[in-house]
Amino acid sequence: MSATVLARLLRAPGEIARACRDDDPEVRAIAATSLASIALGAAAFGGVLGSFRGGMQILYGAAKVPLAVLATLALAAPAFHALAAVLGRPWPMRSIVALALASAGRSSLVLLAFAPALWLMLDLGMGYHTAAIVASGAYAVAGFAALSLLVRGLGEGKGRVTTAIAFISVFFAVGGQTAWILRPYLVRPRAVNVPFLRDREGSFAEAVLTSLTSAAIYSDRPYRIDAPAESDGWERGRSTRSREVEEDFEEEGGQ
Amino acid sequence: MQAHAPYVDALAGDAPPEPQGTTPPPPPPGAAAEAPADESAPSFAKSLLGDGPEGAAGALRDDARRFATALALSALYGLSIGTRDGGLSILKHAAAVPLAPLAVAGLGVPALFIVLTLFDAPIDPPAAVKAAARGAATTGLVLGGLAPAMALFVTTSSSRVGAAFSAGLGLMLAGIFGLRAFLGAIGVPLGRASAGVRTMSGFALAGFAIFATALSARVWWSTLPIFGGAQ
Repeated sequence: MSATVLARLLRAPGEIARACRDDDPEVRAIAATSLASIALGAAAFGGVLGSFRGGMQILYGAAKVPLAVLATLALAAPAFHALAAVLGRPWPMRSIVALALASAGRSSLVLLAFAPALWLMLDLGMGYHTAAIVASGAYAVAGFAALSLLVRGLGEGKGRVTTAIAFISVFFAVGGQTAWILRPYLVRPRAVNVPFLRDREGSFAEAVLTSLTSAAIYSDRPYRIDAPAESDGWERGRSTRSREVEEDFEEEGGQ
Repeated sequence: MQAHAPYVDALAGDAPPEPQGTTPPPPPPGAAAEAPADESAPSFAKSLLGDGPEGAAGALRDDARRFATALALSALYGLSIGTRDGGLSILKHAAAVPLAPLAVAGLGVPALFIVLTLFDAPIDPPAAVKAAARGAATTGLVLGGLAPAMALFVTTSSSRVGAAFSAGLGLMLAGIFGLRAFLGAIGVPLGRASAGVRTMSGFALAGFAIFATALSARVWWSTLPIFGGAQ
């Protein structure tokens, strides 16, 4: 792992992208550093997510997030190669793999930067839903960091935007499905058993569609917890909890 | 590709990649930062999509090699979607996926050639074969590239409809790219024709696009077990 390459990965994505694209002699160092960044950054972020539940989930999270990233790259790289070729960039597979690795390495470094802040927020008592949203936000920022390198790597010329959109679509679909089959990452602290993998159910696309449909159906109804209700002493005691903790409590059947 | 007729661009969207077989001009000084990757670098995709050698015998052999590679890559996609059911289904899918590009090249392209010749379009059989090989190669390359990802989708989707939808999406995408490459390649000689011939050829190409889409859908729907065909 080269500190120089690491710094350039963050500071000069254009140079790194050009080196990958042109099959520069330093591609080997870039690939090795990117792999190390993925292993370290994604594992740290996964471990922090797992710390919400604690115990074995920390190890599971630290193993599964890098695994998801690497599996996604392995499955998507041939598609990147083919799509780039038919859209006017018939580059060697080696260049495409190096570019994808460097992008993922950069995003993993961003995840590594988010990990301490996320851990602190979890330690201060952040709820399940907020944690999920914050983690999604971190993934989004990391995704943009990767995208900036990837788009620079495509260079100028016709079909640049189409190729970038094709890459993003493939990465989102493959990454989403890979992450879906490797879940759970964020587990509630009350969960007794923590499986490494959940049973096969639906697919990432079906889950997204279900969530969107559900959101569309319930978006015009008053939020359940906001509704005024009769309260007794016990209820008044519970009212000191945050709305989010209350929601978690009810979702888990009041256990 | 500068000689493309407007209808070809309209049918095909952006022009397909330029042939990569010729040596590109050297980039101007200072342009290295934004220039694409070294065009002379060896690449499987470039050799598959690029122009073959000049001369009828060499060109035909090269087109045949390209077509065979495309069918093999299509079969690879079939293997990947067959993994959902496993066993004999893998072989059934591997045999069925290449049938559509084969049918389009064997039935559609000769018919198109006859129609274009009726309009006195400046196209000869080698040009039609070359365009067909280019289209099939593009379809095969996309299918081969999507094969690993598709194996993930079809084996990890719990519902059969979801798996079939994913497989169909990949086939559709590859078909669109293949058609686009075919129309772009066959548009090169047509661009030299008169305005009237170009207009009539445009109608013929539009009809071919519809025919190729319908034929591919028919073949895949009736032969691929993942869609309920050839059970």
